[in-house]
Amino acid sequence: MSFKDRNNVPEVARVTKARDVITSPNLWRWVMEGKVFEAGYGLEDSAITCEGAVDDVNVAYSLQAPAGTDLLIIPILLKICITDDGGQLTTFQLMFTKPAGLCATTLVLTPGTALTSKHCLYQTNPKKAEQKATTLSALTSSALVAADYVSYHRGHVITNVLTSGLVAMGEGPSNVHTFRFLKEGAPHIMTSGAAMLVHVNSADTDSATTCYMQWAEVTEDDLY
Amino acid sequence: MPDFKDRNNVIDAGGLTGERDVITTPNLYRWLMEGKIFEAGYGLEDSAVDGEGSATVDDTTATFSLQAPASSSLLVIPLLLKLGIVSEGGAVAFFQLMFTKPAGLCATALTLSGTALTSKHCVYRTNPAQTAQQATTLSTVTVSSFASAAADFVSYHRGVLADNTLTTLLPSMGSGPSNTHVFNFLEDGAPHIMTSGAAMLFYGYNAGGDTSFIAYMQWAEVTEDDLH
Repeated sequence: MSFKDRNNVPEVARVTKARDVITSPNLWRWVMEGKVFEAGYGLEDSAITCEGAVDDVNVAYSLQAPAGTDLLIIPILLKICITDDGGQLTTFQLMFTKPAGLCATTLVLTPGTALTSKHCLYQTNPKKAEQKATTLSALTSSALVAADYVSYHRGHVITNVLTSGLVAMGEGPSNVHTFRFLKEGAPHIMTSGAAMLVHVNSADTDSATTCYMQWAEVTEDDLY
Repeated sequence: MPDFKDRNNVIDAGGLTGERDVITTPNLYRWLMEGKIFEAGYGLEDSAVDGEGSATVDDTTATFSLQAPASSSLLVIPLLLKLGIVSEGGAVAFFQLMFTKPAGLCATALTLSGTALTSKHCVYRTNPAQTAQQATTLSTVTVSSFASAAADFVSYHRGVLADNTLTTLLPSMGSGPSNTHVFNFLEDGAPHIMTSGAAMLFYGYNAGGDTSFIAYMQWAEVTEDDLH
């Protein structure tokens, strides 16, 4: 028998009446197996105040793979939301680092504040396993050099974007930037303390942001 | 002959849901896990690269390049390119993205020289690191002259940006006006497959001379067997 179901029982594959094979993306399996997680903020939580200037050691948000496991951390979705625009142009950058031990100075991320709103996307009772990746806000990073990481996106946002930027709902100008990593080239696979870092800076440090992130925690066998 | 084998060449069954739908994994994940996808760009505090200070484009001075190695069987497939304007200059800015023929098929064999991008990584982050990329990524690129330019390459995109784009165009978050242009090649028609010194070239230019750009690029290095 060429196929088996999740209980290892031999079974035939499903086709339509016109004999097309009906498929299910592996992402659904990951979700059902409790391998996809999210982190962010509650309804009334305060936003994070940004930095006055770009500095590699001052980070707004992070997602970091655990150092001592064979888990693969795959960022799936990231939303950065400007909730207070301050009085100056705002810049945001999304970085992906090497594994911690391969950085010129071993990468160490120091809280900061751990994000408290963390969940498995498959909401069950009793709940699924806890996430192993670390999510932080307003954190400090050890110093990094250019070869340690890469800027995946460097965005500039006009002064007073929430008023003069004509932000609205839908697909036009917005206060929210969304990264859909599964639909934008290839997603990053992070292991061994590698991290995704968000930096936000504005000459007026009153700019403030919140974030929402989603990621998978899988093993090599899940992917190939 | 069994129908399926895993990566260790062990016979195995395909996976089904409880309703017998076949569970599928895109080949892109296999390429990732085999260390075949790479990226290059800039660090957090790196300076941007000036485009050409001219209203007239010159094919011998490109801002960024990605080039397939000349003498291997590798197929280099651009997956993603992000171009960010960091300084807007003082006039209307232009940018063009070109794909060339293989180096030896250009009227004058294509050669590139410039500054190597230093922030280069395999997208699968492991310790020890995966094998390094073989494609070449450069900035401030000097390009050999295209003797019969139009036949040697094609302009994939020709963009024009209003003067003072970082202010008067109201760049914001989301999918509205932005300082960043994203080429998502897997979602934008069919991707190019570059071999034998073929190159992707980006040209940014502005009569004001001050427009500067940063780039992030992602590509796959695969073989014919990976594709068909």
